[in-house]
Amino acid sequence: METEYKLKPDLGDILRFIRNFLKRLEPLGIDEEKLFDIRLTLEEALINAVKHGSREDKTKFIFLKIKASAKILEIEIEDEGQGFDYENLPSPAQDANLEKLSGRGVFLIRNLMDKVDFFNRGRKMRMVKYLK
Amino acid sequence: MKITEEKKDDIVICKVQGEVNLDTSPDLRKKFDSFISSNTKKIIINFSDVPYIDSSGLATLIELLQRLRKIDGKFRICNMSEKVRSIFEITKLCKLFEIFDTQSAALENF
Repeated sequence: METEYKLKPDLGDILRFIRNFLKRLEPLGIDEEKLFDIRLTLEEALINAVKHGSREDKTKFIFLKIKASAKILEIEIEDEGQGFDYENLPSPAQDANLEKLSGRGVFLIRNLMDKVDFFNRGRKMRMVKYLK
Repeated sequence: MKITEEKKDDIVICKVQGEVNLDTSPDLRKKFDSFISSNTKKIIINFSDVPYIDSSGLATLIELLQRLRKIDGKFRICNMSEKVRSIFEITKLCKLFEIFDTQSAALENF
């Protein structure tokens, strides 16, 4: 399965899109634990793209490419925002940052996916999850 | 999300049913507003029916911890599924929250 989407930066629409997309993965027989990881990373990445990338500017779009087989899931997300300094994000898992109310999205993505790369000054992220 | 509460002495046991995420966090926050305004200082959150949590849900729990601390209150979380607990472990929030395997363990010496 290989699909491309052009999404409006609307949180409600994005969450509904993810729920529908996960249903489309059902035929691949992905186990529940991996589906949890995929859902959480997709939500965190797309919510970041809406809030910090597009800043909910309805004239901008989020571009999503998904390639899925029984063995591997590859997701590419690109927004039209300013990008971010993905190499110098403070770790939310450090004692001094434990009580911070934000900053866990990318950290979770990096921990739950098998491979995560950023391009174009952080505007584009590619993540990979091995399914088998 | 459905939240039910039960009182045991001065402790409120709050059972959350459903996902704790961007969509539902406001409901949880509202429930805690009512606890805090009624000066409830000891809360146990039972997570046995919580299949999913995201970073927004985690932030809501941190916020609650901070607000309860201001009134000398505290809360404990119990009965998390293995997967939900793994999110607390990855983020090291298991160091910040008091997490118990069972509700009776959470009630002990609270």
